[in-house]
Parts: sequence; structure tokens; C-alpha cells
Amino acid sequence: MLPRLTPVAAIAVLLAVWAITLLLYLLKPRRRRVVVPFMPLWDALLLPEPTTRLFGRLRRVGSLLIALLLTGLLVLALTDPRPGLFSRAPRTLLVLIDAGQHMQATDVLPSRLERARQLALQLVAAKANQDELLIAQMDATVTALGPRSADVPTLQAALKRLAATDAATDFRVAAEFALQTLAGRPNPALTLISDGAFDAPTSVLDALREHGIELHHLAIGTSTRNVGIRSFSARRYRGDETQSEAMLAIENSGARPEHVELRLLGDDSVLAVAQLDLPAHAVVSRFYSDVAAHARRLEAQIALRAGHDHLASDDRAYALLPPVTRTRILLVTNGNRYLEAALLLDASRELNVITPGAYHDSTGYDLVVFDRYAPDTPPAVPCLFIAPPASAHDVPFRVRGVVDRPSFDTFMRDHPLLQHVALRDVNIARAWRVLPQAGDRVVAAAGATPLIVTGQRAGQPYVALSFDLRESDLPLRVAWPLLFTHAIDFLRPPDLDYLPPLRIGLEQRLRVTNAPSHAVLQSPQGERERLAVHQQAVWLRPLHAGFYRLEVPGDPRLWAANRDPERTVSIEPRNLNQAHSGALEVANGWLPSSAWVALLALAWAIAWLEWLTYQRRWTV
Amino acid sequence: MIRHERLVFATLTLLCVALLVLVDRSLIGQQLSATWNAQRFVLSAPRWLGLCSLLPLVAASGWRGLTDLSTAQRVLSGSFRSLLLACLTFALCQPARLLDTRRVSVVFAVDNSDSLDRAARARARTFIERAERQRGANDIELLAFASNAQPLHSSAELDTPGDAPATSDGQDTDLQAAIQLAYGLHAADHARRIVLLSDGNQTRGDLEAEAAHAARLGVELDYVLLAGTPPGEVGVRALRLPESIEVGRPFRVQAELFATAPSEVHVELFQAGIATASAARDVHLEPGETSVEFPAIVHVGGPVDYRLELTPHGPDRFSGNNRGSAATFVRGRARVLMVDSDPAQLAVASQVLLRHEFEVDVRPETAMPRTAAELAQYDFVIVSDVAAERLPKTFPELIEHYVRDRGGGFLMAGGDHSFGLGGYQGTRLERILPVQMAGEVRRDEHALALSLLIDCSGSMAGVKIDLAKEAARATVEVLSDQDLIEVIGFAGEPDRQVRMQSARNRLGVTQNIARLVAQGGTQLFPALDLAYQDLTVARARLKHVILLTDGQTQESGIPEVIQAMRSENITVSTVGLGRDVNRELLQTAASLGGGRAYFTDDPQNVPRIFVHETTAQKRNSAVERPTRMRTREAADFLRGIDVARAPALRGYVSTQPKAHPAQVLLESDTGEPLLARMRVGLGFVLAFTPDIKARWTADFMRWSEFDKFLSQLVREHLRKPEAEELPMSIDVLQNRAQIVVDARGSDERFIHGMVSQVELVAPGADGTSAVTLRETAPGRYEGSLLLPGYGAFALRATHDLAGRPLGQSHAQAQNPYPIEYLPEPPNAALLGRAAALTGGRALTDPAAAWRPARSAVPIRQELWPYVTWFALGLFLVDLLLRRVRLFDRHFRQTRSAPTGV
Repeated sequence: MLPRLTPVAAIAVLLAVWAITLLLYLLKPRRRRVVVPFMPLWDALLLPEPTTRLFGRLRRVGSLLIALLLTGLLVLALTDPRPGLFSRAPRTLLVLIDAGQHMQATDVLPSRLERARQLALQLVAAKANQDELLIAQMDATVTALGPRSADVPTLQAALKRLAATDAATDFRVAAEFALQTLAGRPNPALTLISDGAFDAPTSVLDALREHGIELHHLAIGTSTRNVGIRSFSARRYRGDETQSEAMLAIENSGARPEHVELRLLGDDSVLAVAQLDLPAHAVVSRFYSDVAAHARRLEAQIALRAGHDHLASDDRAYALLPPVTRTRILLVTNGNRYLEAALLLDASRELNVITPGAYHDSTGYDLVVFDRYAPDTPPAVPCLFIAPPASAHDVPFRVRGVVDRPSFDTFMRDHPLLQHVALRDVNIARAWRVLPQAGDRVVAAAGATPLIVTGQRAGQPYVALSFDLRESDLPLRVAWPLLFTHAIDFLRPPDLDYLPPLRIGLEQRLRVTNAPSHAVLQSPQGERERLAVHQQAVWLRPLHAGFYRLEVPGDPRLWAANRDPERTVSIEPRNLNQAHSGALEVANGWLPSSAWVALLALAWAIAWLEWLTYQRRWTV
Repeated sequence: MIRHERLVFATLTLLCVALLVLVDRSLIGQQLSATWNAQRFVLSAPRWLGLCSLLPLVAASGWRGLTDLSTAQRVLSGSFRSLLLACLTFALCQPARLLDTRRVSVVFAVDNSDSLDRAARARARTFIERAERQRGANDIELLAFASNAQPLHSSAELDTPGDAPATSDGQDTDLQAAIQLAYGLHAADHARRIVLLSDGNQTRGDLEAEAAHAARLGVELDYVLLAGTPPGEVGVRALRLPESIEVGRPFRVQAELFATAPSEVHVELFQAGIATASAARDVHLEPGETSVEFPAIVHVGGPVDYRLELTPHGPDRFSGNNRGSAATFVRGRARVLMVDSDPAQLAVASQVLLRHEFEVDVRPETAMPRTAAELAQYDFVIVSDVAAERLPKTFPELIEHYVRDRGGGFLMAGGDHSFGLGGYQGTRLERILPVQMAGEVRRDEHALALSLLIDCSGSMAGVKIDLAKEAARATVEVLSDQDLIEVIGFAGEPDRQVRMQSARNRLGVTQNIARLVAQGGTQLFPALDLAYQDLTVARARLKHVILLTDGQTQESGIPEVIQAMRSENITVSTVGLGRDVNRELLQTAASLGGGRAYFTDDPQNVPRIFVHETTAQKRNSAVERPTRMRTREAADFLRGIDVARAPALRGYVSTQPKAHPAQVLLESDTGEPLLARMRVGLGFVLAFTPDIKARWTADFMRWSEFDKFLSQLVREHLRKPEAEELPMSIDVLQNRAQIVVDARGSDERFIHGMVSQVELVAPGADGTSAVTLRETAPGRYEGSLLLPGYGAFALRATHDLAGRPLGQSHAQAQNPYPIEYLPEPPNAALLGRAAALTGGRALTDPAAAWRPARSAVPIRQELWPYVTWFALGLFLVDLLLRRVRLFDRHFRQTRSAPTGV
């Protein structure tokens, strides 16, 4: 912070300094007596000198004025002068600088974002002394780049923190931030430095106006030409995890058709190349089946065949396929060929069969099937219970007797377990009369007798059939393999076929299986960041598209991050001033970034010149 | 000498300027720093140092200056001027001192939401005031937050009168917004810290996410746990519906109420905005939660919503939480329409369907649906024993549209007035049935053997007998060549005027009929017996007697002989002519004989009656004899049913199967269709030629498997749901339902290009709350929908593919009531987690808010103003040196100088 002089103090100081200066100039210096032995000099003294008296007076007055000017410059510099120093009421300005992906467009060199930074610097330099500015970056969220301040260096330092992101600009969030920050402040004003290439609903702009907040938009950008990958994702088939499908949407937001070459890469190897013709203002979707049998990291790249567009960062997109895993299933049974046959149907399952006596725990398995047996404690993995008998620990629920010849008559028809499954005519000799716990869901029942129940035990999902398969004709029916497959799918983790991408610009919580104190996040640019692990999770906010690697001991994980597919790739500039307010008046004129520097430089020059003239007696 | 000096001065000037340029060029963009006395200094614009290269010129010009000051003063003046210029040069270089500070700028963010009472806010104010007194050189800022955050100028602004909510937006707590605002309030050159004074029960925003962000920005987050329970508060915490509700099945709506003190409240449950009589009551609430259940039932499928309103009889701070709502989508049962002339006859069949979860609507044909919209309400239509002429004229067209375009199921069941018996032959309905009604007969068997018994007593003389003859002749004309006919005239004794013979011999038969003469009394029994004997031996599939009489006769023996005839499948119809006829006898005879009784006073009607009756018999294809069912083609619904073990049917209507694609599933022992079906457009049409009443299928309906047979038959041919149900999951976040639909085909392939629209169907559906989902990954469609309030909402999605309906989805979105108004304990865990993310802590001592920052914050102290102040002082001293002679005030003569003039 500067010990800056207030205007009043400056005037007082100036008057005092000038008074001292004037006083000094009122003093008449005693001339030095000089003994001159040379007679002709007396002639010179005795001659009339009418012109030199005026010149002498002027010399004295000029010298005084120079001194007054010099001291005035110094005092003025000490006030760190700004426009409106004496006239305007102080204002509270929020400067929102758009750092969304579209601001990386290079139609304005070096980029729209850098141009925005320059404009902001001009704005800071041009601000009135008493104006307080809060500089914030807006993308998917709003980040204050520094404190609210009237101090220019503080604000300049804040502007250095401005950084580009691949996030989509969310003006609603920004407007809400503006309302919270500016409402109730003196002369609030919002200065938006942006290309305006975002959705700015009229209701949001009206809300700002209703709160008395002036909106000034410093518009940037000239071009609309851009072709970008709007969305890219990939997903494995649930039935066959070795098969996958990718979806790609490319948008031409420009006003002319474009010819694009698309390259699809899997684990850095080219999988496919295609030529696409994109009409103007169009989105073209493409689906690619079986693009990657083994690859996990998919990348889509596009390039214009002729020329280039003005935004490169949306020419690449990333998708990540879940790893292909074999489900390790433990079957605890005294023998059940129906179950074994059903479990062996799918090659992606790895089955181990043991007797109840050999069962100790579920370590090493993804799923345990208990056939007519229930452990003392529910295992820490998903379970399928077939006719769990009454046990001392009521796992998974209490059994209170037997029901003879129940028949399915009540169903949760929308439950995934029952999709395309017809059970109504299944014959069952007998079933356990079970008592589900709170939170359990009875998927199918015979009257009040639950026959298929789901729920959670020990934090893991379970499915239970309350009847013995061997005492029903279910295994002989078409419904059985379908029901069984649904049950296995239901019990598997949900992200086996699809890994949702990270959303750029937003804080996200990622679970880590182990519980270290820290994890290391490697960004697509190779930067490594140490993240604290809290509650078996880390928070991260990806700022760029690409693959993020989260390194946790024993559990390294990869994530793809992409731009928000909901948003268009359009970079068309838009000026919000046209509809809502006039342009910012101070932004278009020139103002020195540091007026005090100029004042001091001028004072230096005057002091130096005055010295020279004084020595030559041009001034006194 | 002077020239030499000028040369030196010029050279010196050139050298100085050259040095100036050199220094300037070499220091462009540079920043010089130095450490002195353990302090770091920096020159941000050192290029200005080049100006120092001009300072020698100051000395040079002073050395040869024309001032008359003493040398010492000139040296001193020159030194001061040089120092002045040097100071200004130094100031222009923008010197600064870099310091590390551990001072903190603390923003106290005070929870001003409605969940905290005045006492809690007073505690917050006290805490802040104590902290303010101890802040020292640190910086303090204040803000209050609820739904929004607002900077405060002083802690006094936290005061609100009474226990009224502090702000108008206090119904929410947005801790995230508070932190975001705090970023902009911190003073520069301080470490940043935010102290949250809150109960931690956030209802909006994400504190943990923002805490992670704050940690990235180096902002510490401390918290002071505030606790405040609104006094005298009652409210509805939740209204719950069972996961699965079925039409017509009673269930219970569970309301969870809460109170902070013993309270009496009145609660009332509304279904679809209408109060239910059984669901209004006064309830006593103990402190804590109370669960109240209400009986409920849904009669019609579709969206259903419930609202519970609570009226407190005592103090209640917030009225906003005195209502709760829940909604879900109830699937209706499959609706079956059963039509019969006598609906009571369908009681058994309708009970079977009711037992199997069908919604059954039994109506007489007079109340049949007459529009496509009415018919579309049903999933299956059964028409049982209704003559074609009694159906609405538009029915055939409606039912064809219903089946072909709407995918409905239609079954025509047999009976006296079905198929051919009902006059459906040649109708539009016959065209879509899987059987045809003009039955062909076997070569060795006549189709019809008809015996005409004509009263030839004296009372028939004249016009009557003539018209009777005419009627007999007309009858012969109606018969086909495959039919047999005999004509027996009876008065005292029966006389075979025409022996049983083929109707092909029409001329001979007609001539014989002409011989009938009216004379004598009326003896009916012998004539009937004669006809019985003749028909018994006749080889025909249908055997029928038409009896015409106009008078009285002895009744003895007649019922017996007719019963005997009936036992041999010989049917009897009677025609009574005149007013003297024994109507009772004739009606009994017709009834026993399985035929019809006609009465007329006008002899002119007799020929027409004969023709009608004969025609009816001609098309009468009822087979009334025990028949066992045989399976001809398999069908899914017959799986598990051993048809061969079913009891024999007592009869059926004879029909002929149509060619493919009609399928005969069950047939009689003679191979005639008993159950046939045919796909017509999107639906099925079935013909069940036995009846579904207790006449021909009495034994079959008592069979243990009949329930399964009928229910499975109907279920398999029901109108299928227009669309497949695709799984839809809902996650509610920030009052928005995040919707994901997983679209896979039956082959597990992803469905692309689907147009999915999700709408809110209850409660509060106004047609405006809808969103179109977007495919974000193969087969994965996502979108979000703003929920209009709190509670449970039913959402329905419709999915179209290439302009055709593909499927639908239903799900429930639970948006819990804001915990702002619930007596929730303070959420210290949330605040603790957020603080831990940033390295902050819980505060109990206000002084702890000012603890030094964990890491020092570099700050920059600009020095140029100080240097400028110094330069200003130097200039004034310099002026003094010029104006005041400090040395040599008495002008001492130097020794070498001459003295005196």
C-alpha cells in the first residue's frame, strides 16, 4: 500500500512548501564584495543598463516560478493522481474477465484472453483513486483473483493470476456473484471483459439492472469461424465388455461449410480417419462401433482441410473406457448345478465354488453367491443370496417360517431385475417367510411373502431369492438366465460400462479406495499437484481437457475431462451493451498507467535544467 | 583555455549521454533486487538509473558556474542538487521493500438463515465483537449470509427484533456463496482467513467443493458452531408413499411430522387436491418425530399425488414447513371389457380375471363403447353371445381399428347368438375373425333335416291352410340340396304329406305340400312322435322341427317326447297362429326343444316366419354334444396347461378355420376350431367357439386349470404397452432433478438418436416443466429439470425414435424439505470436513481467529513516496543554500588578493 496524499493534505503540503519557497526568494542574498584592480571594469559598471534590470527581475520571478513548479510537481506526484481525483464519487467496480474456452480464440492477437487482460490493465490504470475494484475470472465458476482494492499494484498483481481454461462460461453464476458482491455497495458497476460468446439470459441482465448495477461490456473478438468437437464419449456394452461404442459430435459454428479430417486415436494409435463435410451452423454426430478392442484412452482430433479456425483447444476431445475386468465370483454351495451352469454362461466371469464349511471371507472376490447358506456377517462385497436359511445373525434378514406353494403376484415392474422377465407362472414348492429390513426393496412377492428382495448390507448391495431354486421350476424357464444376469449386473459397480468424464471448471469429488493422506494429480499438461485426501476422496477442479491421472498408492486412476457438451462451440462475439447499457467511458481513452512517474520525470528534468541555468546565471 | 573547457564539457556530456543510453538499454525489462540487513529490496524500473549518468554534468557545470557563492557553499549546493536528482532517479526506479507478513485478513461470515434464532445471532455478534477488540494489526471484514451473502459494515447490523427471521431470504443456507463473497472482501497484503459462524446445515451450494477451491487459493476456513432451535415449531418432515401402488389395492400414506414441543395439530390429506374423508384428524405430537399413517386407495392408474396439510393449534414459528407432498405414477391394471346380453352369465369368467389382477368391466351390449376413444380405454375386449344385429352398427369398424391400429385384443366367445348363430356371416367382423361361419358338411352327412309339422285341423281351413302351404313351399326354396325335408300334416292322425327326402326334389315336394287339406281335430303328440322317429334315423348334422298350429291340443306326452328329441340333438321351434293357441304349451315345447317360439295373429306372417326359422336353422351351426379339446398348435399361454385333461365341452358353434395367418390352437374331436387366433395389424383377434358361460363350458369352467387358461389367454393377447419401459434414474441436486435414461435395445445395443422428453406429471404439472434429454454417451441420455418445490415428484419420460414411439420411463424425484425448517442438530461434521480441507479449525476463543497465518504472505512496500518526500526536502534545502550565504559571510580576502581601492 502507498502512503498516498489525500487531495486536502496535498493542498496543505503544497501551500506550505510554496510559502517556504516564496520566503526564501524574498531573502536578498548579500552580494560578495569583489576587489577589481582593472579600471575598464568600472566603465562597465558606470554605464546605464536599462534592459538588464527588467531581465534581472524576470530572472528572479522565473526562478521562483520554476521552484514553485518543481515543488508542485513533487507534491502532485505524491498524491498518485488519477482521473476523478476531485470530482467523482467513489465507485465499486467488479471486473469480470471471461476465461472460458472461447476466449482462447486467436482472431484477436495474441488471443482474446490476452486482449482482455490488456483492457483490464488499462481499466485499472484509468480508474479513479477512490474507486475500488474487485477483479475476478469467470468461467464455469467465478474466482476472485485478488482482494477488492483501490490500490493499482494490488490490482495489477491480481491480473497476473488470470489464466485460460477450457471451461464453458456460465454467466448465470457470474451474475449471481456480481449481485452478491455489488448489491448495497456505493455506485456499483459490473465491467464485463469478454467476447460475449455465452448464454446471457435477459432475466439475468434485468436482475442486475434492478439492483442498480451498471453493466459495461468491453467486447472482444471479430471472427465466428470455428469447428470444434462438441462432445465425445465412449461406452462398453454391458453384455460384452470387449465391445465398445464411441459417440462424437462435431459442430461447425461458422457461417460457411467446412471440410474436416477426423482422426480417432486409441492409446495414441490411429484407429480411424474420416473426412467429414460440415454445413454451416450444423452439428454432425457420428457413432463408431468397436473402435477399441483393447484401448482405453480414446482421443478425437479434427483439422480443417483448408485453412484453420480461430479456436484450437476444442479440436481435441477425450474419452476413457472402463477397464475390461473379469468378475470374480465365489459360489458358496453344497452343490447346485443350476447356479453353476448359469454362472459359467458368461466368459467374463471367473467362478470359484466352495462349500459353506470352507467359507471364511470374501477377500479377492467381486461377488459372492450364497446358496442355501448365510454367513454370520455380511461380506464386504455384493452378494446374491439364494434361499438364505434362518440364522442366529439374521443375515441378510430374519426368516420366520415357510410358505407353501407361493406364486408371484406382486412385482416392481420397473425394477431392473425384472426387465423382460416373466415370473407369474413360476411354480414354487415353498419359500421362506422373510422379514426385510428398513430400506430393503421387495422386488417381487407372493402376497405378503417377499420372494425377491434387494437392499444393502455392510454398505454393499445384495439380491436375495427367498426360495430354493431346486424347489421351483424357475431354472427350467426362460426367465431364469435373464433374471440371474440382471442380478449379476445389478450387483456390479455402476461404472463398469461407462466412466463419466470430469466436468471442466467445476470442483469434483473423486473417491479413492485406499486411504492415504495425499494423492498426486497429474494434469494433461504434465503438471503434478498434490491433493489432500479427506474422507477417502479428493477434490479437484480440472481446467483443461485431457486425461488426468490420479496417483494413489495401489490405485492409480485415469479420468478424461472434456468441455461441457451442452454448450455450443460458437465463438461468435456478442456485445451486451447494445441491449442494456452504454460502453464504459473510461476504457476507450488513453491514460498513463502511472502519472506519478511522469510527474517525477518532469521534476527531474526541471531540476537538472534549472541547475544548469542557475550556474550560467540565467536564473538566480 | 575557454575553448578547451568547452571541449571537455562537450566530451563529458557525450560520455554521459552515451552512458545513459547504455544503462537504459541494458536494464529494459529488468528488475533489480538486493538484500540488506535481512530485508529484500527491489527496483521495478531500474532503467531509470541511466539518469544518474547525467549527474557528472551537475558537478561540471557547478565547477565552472557563475554564482558568487563561496566554494564550500557551491560544493554543498552542488551536492544537494545531485542528491536531489539522485533521489528522484531512485524514486523513478520504483523501489520497493519485500516483506513477509503473517497478518491475517479475517472475514467473519455469519449465518443469518432462519434455522438460527436471535440468541444464536447474538452469540455470533458477541464472538465477533470480542474478536474485533483483539485484532491488533490484522484486518477484519464482516458478511452475513442465508440464501445470498451480503457484506456488513458492523456487527450491529446482525441485530434483528424478536425471533423473526433475520432476512427475507433466510429460507436457505448457502455457505458456498458466503465463501465466494469473502474472497472479494479480504484486505490486500494479508493472509486470508474466513470464519464461518453457522450451524452448518446448508441447503444450497456445496461447502466442501468451495472449501477445496479455497484451499487451492490459500484461504483458511475456520468455523464457530452455532446452535439454535426455533421455539414452538411443528412441521411435516416427509410424506411417503409405498414403492409400488396398485390400482384398487389399499395402501398407507405415511407422514412424518415433527415438533419441538408437545403440540396439538390438525392434519388433512388431499389426493389430487381433494380432501379424503378418512384422512383428516387431530394428532398429538410429542417432541421429536411422529409418524402418522393414512389409509388410501387409487382407483385409476396414472399420476397420483398426495398433499398433507398441517394446522397447528399452538405456537409455530414457520408456516412454510406445514405441508408435505408426494407423488408417484401408478400403473393401472389391464382393463378387460366383457359384453354379453346377460352380463350375469359372465360372473365366473369375470371373477377369474379379477383374481388375476385384471380390471374387468362387464356390460350389456346396450352399454357398449361407441367411440374409438372409449374403446381405447380397454386392453382386451370379449364379446360373448351377442347377436350381430344387437351390436352398434359402428362396432365392427371400431373393433377393427382397435385391433389393427391400437394393438388391442378381441375375443368372440360362442353362444346361441355368436358366430353364425348371431348373424355374423358375411359381416365385416367375420372378415377379421380367424374362423368363417358358413360351415361345410361332410359328404356322408346332410346339413339339415327339417320336419315341418303343420296343423291341418278344421280351424286352419281357408286362408290359414293356404298360407301354411305357401310357408312350406317357401321353406323348401330356402333349403339347399344337402338338406332333408319332410312335411307332416296333423289333425286327428299324422299324415306324411312329404316323406323325409332331399330338398333337391323341390318340384315333387311342392306338389305334395299342395295336397294338405284342413279337416278334423288337433292331435299334436302323434305327429311329434312321428317326426321324432323320422329324424332319429335321418343322417344329418342338424335336425329340426317346425311346428305350426292354431288351436288347442292335448298336452300329455308332448314335453317328454320333446325332451327325448332334444337328447338326440333334435331341436323344436313352434309357431302359434291366432289368439286361441296354447301359448304356454308352445313356449314350453320351444324351450325344451332348444328352439324358438313364434306367435302371430296374422296368417300372412306365417310364410315369413317359416323362412326365417329355416334360415336360422340353416346357419345354426351349434354343435351340442360332448366334445373334448385337442391342441392343434402350441401357444405360450397354453404352456403348463394340459388341455387334454380338461373336461369335455358340452357344445360349441361350428365354424371353419381360415387359412394362414389364422391359427387354430384348439380343435374339437371332429377337427372344428374351438380356439383360433389371427394377428390383425398390431393386435390379435380370437374366436373361442364354445361359450364362456355355464352352458357349454360349465364343466370346463369348474376345471382347476380354467383360471390359468383364461387369464393367460387374455394376458398374452392384451394390448401391449405402447412403449417399452426404459430405466430412468433421478438424482436431485440443488432443487434440480438430474435425469439419466439408459437406452438399450433388447439386443443390448445402444439406442441412438432417441428423442426423449421428460415431464413433471405430479404434483404441480402445468405442462411447462419439461426437458428434452441429450445423448451424452452412446445410449445414455441426460438432462436436468428444475423441481417446482419440495417433496416427491413423479416424472414421466416419453422416448421417440425416428418419429415413432419407442418407450417410456417413470421415476420419482425426492426433493427433501429444506432442513432450514427442520429441528436438525448442527452439522459440525460438514464444517469440520470443510475446515480440514483448508487447514482451518473450529474456534471457541475469538483470539484464535487472529493466530498468525501458517505461511507468510509476501507483501510489497512501495518506497518511492518516501524518496519523493526526501527529494522535496532536499530541494528546499538546496534553495536555502542558494538564498542564504552560509560560508564566507564577511568576505575574507584571500591572501593573494589586493586590498583597498
